[in-house]
Amino acid sequence: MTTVAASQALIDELRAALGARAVLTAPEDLLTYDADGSMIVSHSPDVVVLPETAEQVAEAVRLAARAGMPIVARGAGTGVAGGAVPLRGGMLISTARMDKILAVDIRSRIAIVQPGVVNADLNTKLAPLGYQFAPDPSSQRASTIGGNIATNAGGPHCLKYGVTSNHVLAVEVVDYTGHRYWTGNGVLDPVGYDLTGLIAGSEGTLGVVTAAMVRLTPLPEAVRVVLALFPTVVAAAAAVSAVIAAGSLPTSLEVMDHNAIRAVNNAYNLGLPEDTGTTALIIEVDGVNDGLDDQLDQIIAICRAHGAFDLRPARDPATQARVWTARKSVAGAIRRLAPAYYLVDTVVPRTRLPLMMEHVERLRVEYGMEVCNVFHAGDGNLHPLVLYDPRDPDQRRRAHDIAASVLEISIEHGGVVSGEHGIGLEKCEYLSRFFSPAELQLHATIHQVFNPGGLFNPAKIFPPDTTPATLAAARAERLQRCDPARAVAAPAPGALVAPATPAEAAAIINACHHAGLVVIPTGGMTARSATAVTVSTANWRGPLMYEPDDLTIKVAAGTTLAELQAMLTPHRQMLPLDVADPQRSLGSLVATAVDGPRRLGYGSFRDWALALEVIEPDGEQVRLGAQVVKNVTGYDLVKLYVGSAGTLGLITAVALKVFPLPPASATLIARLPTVTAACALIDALAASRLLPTAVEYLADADGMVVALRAEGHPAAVERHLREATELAHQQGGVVTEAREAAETAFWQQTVARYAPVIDQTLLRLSVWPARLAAALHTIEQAAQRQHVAVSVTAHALSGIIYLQLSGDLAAVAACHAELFAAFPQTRLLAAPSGYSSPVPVWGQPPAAINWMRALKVAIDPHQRMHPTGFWFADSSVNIREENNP
Amino acid sequence: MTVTQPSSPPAQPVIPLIGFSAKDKPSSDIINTCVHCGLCLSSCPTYRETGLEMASPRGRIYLMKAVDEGRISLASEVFQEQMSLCLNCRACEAVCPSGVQYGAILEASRAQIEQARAGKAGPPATPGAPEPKLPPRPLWQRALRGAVFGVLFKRMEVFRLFSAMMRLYQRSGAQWIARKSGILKLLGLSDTEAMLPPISDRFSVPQGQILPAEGERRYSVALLTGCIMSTAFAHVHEATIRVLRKNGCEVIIPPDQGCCGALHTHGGDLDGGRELARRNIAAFEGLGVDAIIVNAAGCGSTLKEYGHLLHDDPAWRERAERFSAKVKDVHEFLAGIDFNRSALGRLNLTVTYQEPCHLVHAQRISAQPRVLLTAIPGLTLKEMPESSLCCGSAGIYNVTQPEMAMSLGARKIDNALTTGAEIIATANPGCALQLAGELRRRGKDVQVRYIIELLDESYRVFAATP
Repeated sequence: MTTVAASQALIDELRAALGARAVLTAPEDLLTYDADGSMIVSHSPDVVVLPETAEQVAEAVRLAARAGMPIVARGAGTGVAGGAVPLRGGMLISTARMDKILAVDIRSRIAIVQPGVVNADLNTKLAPLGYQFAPDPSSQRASTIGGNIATNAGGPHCLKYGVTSNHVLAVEVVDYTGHRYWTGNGVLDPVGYDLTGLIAGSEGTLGVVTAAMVRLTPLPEAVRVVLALFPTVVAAAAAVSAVIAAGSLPTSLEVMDHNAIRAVNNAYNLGLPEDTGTTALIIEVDGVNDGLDDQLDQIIAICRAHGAFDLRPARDPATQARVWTARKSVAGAIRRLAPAYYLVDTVVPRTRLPLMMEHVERLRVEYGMEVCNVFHAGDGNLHPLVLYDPRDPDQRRRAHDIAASVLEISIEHGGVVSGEHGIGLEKCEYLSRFFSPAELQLHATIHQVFNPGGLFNPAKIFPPDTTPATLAAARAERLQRCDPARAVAAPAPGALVAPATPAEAAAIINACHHAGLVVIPTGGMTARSATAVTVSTANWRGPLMYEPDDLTIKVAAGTTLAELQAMLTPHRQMLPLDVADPQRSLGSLVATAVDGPRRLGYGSFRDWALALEVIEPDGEQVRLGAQVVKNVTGYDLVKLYVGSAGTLGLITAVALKVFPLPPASATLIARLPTVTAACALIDALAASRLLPTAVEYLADADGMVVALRAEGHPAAVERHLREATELAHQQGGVVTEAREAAETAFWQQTVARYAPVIDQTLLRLSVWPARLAAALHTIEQAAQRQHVAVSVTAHALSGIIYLQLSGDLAAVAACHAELFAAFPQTRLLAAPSGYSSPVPVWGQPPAAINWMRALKVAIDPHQRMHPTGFWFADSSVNIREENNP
Repeated sequence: MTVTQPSSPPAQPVIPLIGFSAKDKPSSDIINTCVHCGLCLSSCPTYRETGLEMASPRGRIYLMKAVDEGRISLASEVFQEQMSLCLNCRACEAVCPSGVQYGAILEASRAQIEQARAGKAGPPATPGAPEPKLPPRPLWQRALRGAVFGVLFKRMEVFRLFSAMMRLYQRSGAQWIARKSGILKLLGLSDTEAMLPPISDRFSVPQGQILPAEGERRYSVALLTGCIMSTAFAHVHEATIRVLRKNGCEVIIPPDQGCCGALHTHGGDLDGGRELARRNIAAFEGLGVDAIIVNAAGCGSTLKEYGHLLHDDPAWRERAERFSAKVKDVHEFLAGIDFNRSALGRLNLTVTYQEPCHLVHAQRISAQPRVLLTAIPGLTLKEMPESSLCCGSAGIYNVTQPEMAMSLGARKIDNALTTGAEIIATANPGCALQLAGELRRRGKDVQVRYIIELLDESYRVFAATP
């Protein structure tokens, strides 16, 4: 693509639309926008616009697109992978003036922000309210929420809190035609493809984000930081593994080697020794005050046992802040050591860290270059910064070669090209080493759906020797080929096949593709259609890769949840998911994004799924993601396939984040006299400093119950029970405690309330958590009006409500219709035979339905994979069949 | 690192562009210390207000680099405007991980523009480049700069005479007439006029006074009286002297001292600043004091940088460094000497603190003023948002960039008012005038006081309490 110069007519139109002071054209002005934080490559835009509203962005995009001009969005320009560099010129959209926090709903734990809001500013605003936006990239002082979303930024605290996409509920996007759409409405798990997850980390290639609904996280009551000094990097890395193996999950585990210490020591008055080898490990734990010191003491003891020679606890906030500022300033402070650096940003399974460190050390000596190591050890995210002088071509080459070698070794050991900074244009040459041709083609296919003209951030992410258009065309051609001769092996329509390996499944799906047969994936052993081929993963089970210290596991998709837990328990680990039927397969659970009460404390599959292996509609096997906890190598296709209901492919393997078993757990069951009292208790729990892992609301003819689960240090658990009891008493509640077997039994019964059972009508709806009480009221009224008995179970602080309706089928249908009218996202999960749904089974199609349809068509052009899923076709499949495992 | 292209020049120059001159050239080494990380952006008042990359520290350094490397001209309007729009508040310096000495290259860049405009630039830094010469400033600007930089702030007797005339204007009724008649609005001077400080009844004239310590003498210190502090804020000097004496200091006010030269160095008149620096060094050296005390943030930071200002002058460099090493901001000094807390009386006040840039950023003094304030019994310190964001005063910035100065002033007062404080405490004359001006415009009954005044008041309350 060649640069399209900004014509005077276009400039005039932009000025008319945005105002004269929002359009820059002076060459000197433009030149200050030619690079981001990396300065590795620079190229001036042809025009810079500074819109203040989403409408202005849309108008600017429309005008630029009409002129065929590249469009690059830029936040603060602190990225280090060249993501915001307008390599092909064109229009640069600076979001600097879109810096308004549009709304904060503390009770729902949601904020709506413009993309130019500075991460630290949002946190400054939230702190007095007791909340935070948890992603804390080192650049947070200057970087914007929009930029954080574009690179799916991590940060030292994402070990516990997760990366940016775990904290974004929905985004507003301007598409390539200049239209705006929201990917969701802020409720959890909207039905359909997770476009929010796809846009996050797409580095501005799929559209321009003009607003975001972000999730707010309560600020912990207490924080403890200790800085431990080790004689070697390897000793520090070993201590990291030991801390994790001991069962505590710190908020962060950060390593700085002697070079990093030298860079920041004086500037931040840390007073650390700078001897070669000396390595600092920063460990932070947070939570309620109770038990935190004990937890810290345990960690200190582990560090001592692993050779820490100096331990400096930072107890007061000022000292903690100094330690963190220093840590976060390393990259910027490098200038104190060398004129430039090349940042490697790879993530490996945590247990490979010591091995990677040895390789880095070997390469350092081999190439005779200084390397500064600073990394998120808890995440396995290495950041060797290769120091060099850019004026010396030989040094440039050697720096590049070291980085290439580190990445190559990392990929060999299951690592990724980028963990948190993005591919940009700096790392796109490595993408074809990481992805197979089919995987690259799948990425390109998605790129072409959202960015067919290649105007959004061209020349980024994809390998420089090809284009997304070429790659996507290759895939389209591949899927076009339907050869009846190769259809011989296809099963008969209506058959159920349960292959023993993914290769076998791939061969069958390939044959179906050539035969023109529809494929429906399942985890069970029942044929799901009379005309399609049902492919079951039930014969393909067991662990594929499990290194307990990595806190990740990969299993065959047919593995049941019970089997998975049985693998984890001996290592004192778990998947914090409670479902009624533990015999359901992981593939099925992931494909339907099933959640449980403990999502409040631990999240759900969208947060846990790290990698998937998938068979595409034509039988091509692809691997999405990687078995590491942070990854921005290409689009986050894992999120796209989680909850995709088998419409995009057959999942054959699932890699998940797992969790240490908490040292203690207990549940408080409070019986409340009225719905109002129950809601008041839920409000009080939300406003407290408590951090329960589940708060469930249960109501039926017997009365109202609010159950709170606390997990963690025994002292913390007792504190939760004590305080929650007090709050329950204030609402006239009667409490009982459940521990051990009684606790397990209670939660089994609770989740059984919303298991899809034959002869029950089960609905699921989600609301902003602040609207829970109002929703319960509406539900009660609808049920009364239609004379339907309803049993309610809700993840109270998450806003997810399950309803079991019973009564006359016509009355149930009327009630269903009434609820659908009030809550358009109401979804029918199960119904008795003979039930005819008066409204769409999946609820009202979302605003972004056309994008979902476009994705489906692009990925599965012949509609071979479960074509009746979602709203893509009128439902001809029996509802019950549709939703049973 | 896949593609390496040089920064594309905006236009291919046919003839070489006007670059820096060798004299007072912004140091390439300092310019290249910037790694372009962008962590400075959110601390920069002009970036926060405009959202423009070239109005950020990183952007300005990038422009300096482009001039330095011959990619854009010194004559560039964008370059000149951005050098002028900067407040030189140095908030960026305080947050820069790489320790870029931004103030030094900004002041040098301004000097480059002024020299070139005055036709006094000398030979270009790059041999063969065109002579660094820019069109001269309009006559009225030249006259004003000459009067202000060359006379008013150089000769203290003229400054005091000027101040006395101002006082006459304010007290005689002329001010009332001028304000009421609308002549100020007609002349476009109403905002500027509103900034005029009410001039103290008495001036602090340095005549070699030696004021003994109260009680046992623990320290001997000298006080910089400066320019505007000695007239408009003479009462602050008196308070400072009382507080110092209360803390066992003998206070010497050496004669022959004058303006610190901050306005000159910030305004691109480095030579004017040097002249004043030499005079002050001569006035203070040889006193044998423990510290040279400054109660105005801007003067303090300038005095502490005499070493840098005169580093190319072999005859003065070492003297300047010795001098600078002795300079202490009054809050820094008091907080560092275990100040007298036992004689503080009760002041039932709610106070918010506006941090002068040249205290918090240039001198990195942030905790000490708060230590003093919170030591006062009865006083509640309520922190305002963005307490360390520049208030927009910045020396003569009000005159050169009135629009930006106004909007930053409004932003500051908005922030201050959220605290509900009845007093905004600060420690710099520019800030005090800017804050008071904006409060007056809004008709707000909130006072602006120096921290040292509050401390003095607290001591006096104690002394007056039986």
